[in-house]
Amino acid sequence: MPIKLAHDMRVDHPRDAQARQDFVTSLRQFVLNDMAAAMKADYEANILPSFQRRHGRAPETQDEIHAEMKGHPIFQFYSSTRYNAQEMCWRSVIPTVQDRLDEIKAKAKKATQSPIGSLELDPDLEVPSNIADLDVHLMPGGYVSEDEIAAGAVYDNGLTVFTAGFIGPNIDDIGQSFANAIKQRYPDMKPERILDCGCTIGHHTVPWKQNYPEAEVYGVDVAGPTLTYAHARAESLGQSIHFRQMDATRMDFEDESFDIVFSSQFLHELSLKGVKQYLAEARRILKPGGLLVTMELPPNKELEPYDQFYLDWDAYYNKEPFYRKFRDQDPVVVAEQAGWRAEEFEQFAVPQFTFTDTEAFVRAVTEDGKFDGNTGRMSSTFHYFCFVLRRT
Amino acid sequence: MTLPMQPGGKRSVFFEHEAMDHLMAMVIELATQLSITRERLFALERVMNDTDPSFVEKIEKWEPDPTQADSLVDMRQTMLAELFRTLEIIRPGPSDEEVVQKSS
Repeated sequence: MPIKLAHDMRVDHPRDAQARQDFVTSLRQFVLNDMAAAMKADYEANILPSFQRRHGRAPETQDEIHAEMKGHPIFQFYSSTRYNAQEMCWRSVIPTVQDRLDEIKAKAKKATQSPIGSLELDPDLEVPSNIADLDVHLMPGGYVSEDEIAAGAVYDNGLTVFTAGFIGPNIDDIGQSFANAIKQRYPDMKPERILDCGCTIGHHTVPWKQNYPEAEVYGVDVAGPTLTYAHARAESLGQSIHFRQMDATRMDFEDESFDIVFSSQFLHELSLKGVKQYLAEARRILKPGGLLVTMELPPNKELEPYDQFYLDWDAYYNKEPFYRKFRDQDPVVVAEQAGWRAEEFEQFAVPQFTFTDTEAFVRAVTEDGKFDGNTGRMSSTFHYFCFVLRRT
Repeated sequence: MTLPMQPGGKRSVFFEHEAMDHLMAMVIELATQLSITRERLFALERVMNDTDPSFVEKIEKWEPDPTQADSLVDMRQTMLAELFRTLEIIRPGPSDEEVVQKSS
């Protein structure tokens, strides 16, 4: 079934545009499931034995595997197809967003006429260069474009194509999974204030409000257009979220003012210096007993060299300059360098809440689900890497 | 404003000869357009079949008038522009690291 967003900021795409998006979704599913499996099979059957014959050993690092794979047609076709599919995610939605921009703005105006949440933009905020100057994720124009809302609409619609249904029809499974994981793992937690950092369009912020309706929920991001869209999107879903344009490495919030600080796929967008600043900043604004909850790609040290190589594709080909450097770090060490203590750290795998039966989900998040080569890897057996720092 | 369709900077190259990368983009675009067309035909035949049982026969006998023929020319030109889209973006550009460094 074609995947359609279920909120009022959605635009209805013309028949052919929808068919194009459906094809790109199918293409991505084919690349990430079938071609990825074929590439690994070719590696194990041919490429690895060939390397072993020449070197007298298996490759020891992801870099050795990457260098070896570059010369093989399976990697070249996998990468070329994946790269094209990545570009096409955005290309398949931009014409409709362009044509319906006035309609999108009218919908945003309507949705925010009597807001239950809020939006505060900071036009003077200095946006980091890797966000302001690079088209991250190959999204044309990036997240900080001239138009006040278009980038948010492109991201929402394009992400729906990109995720190929892997994170649910509302592209919110990460938020749903982590909010539910925290509810199960920390049943005594009664958060009054929750913050989502690097929230873009708030698609993973909304589930925190849905799961903790009594809490005041905030989302921060450096990009104004995505926040403007996030505000309208949350209002259209009837959720009270407070969006603030801030740099999460230096926020305006008071000390000890939040119970949960969450982020998803955010740390790998920061420089290593930025990661440490963010972790220190999160500690500052967390109340004693508060949780820093992080959904990220698993660190390379937890994975076999082939899986390291596989996950780092984005670092080389998807305009994410800090992706690899982040994944080479030990999160405990980085957290300690940011003022946390090792005993405050724990990590576990989180299954997909949308696609897992409740009993299996609860068991997994309360018994420290183990990592494997599928952790953090978007496929039909997707699950997430989580680390939590509990401020003592 | 006009929203950009292509990300800035250099396009990644995966094959020994860059021509292959362009060819792959063209092949995938062709496959996309074929899929779109098939989907539309699939829908069209089912809609028309419900209302006019002689629909398929009429299609076989149909010929475009001059205006319709011009429209078909435009459609083919649009398709070709998309098919060869990557050739428009062969241009030197700074690496991601250079962009970040320059702006920092």
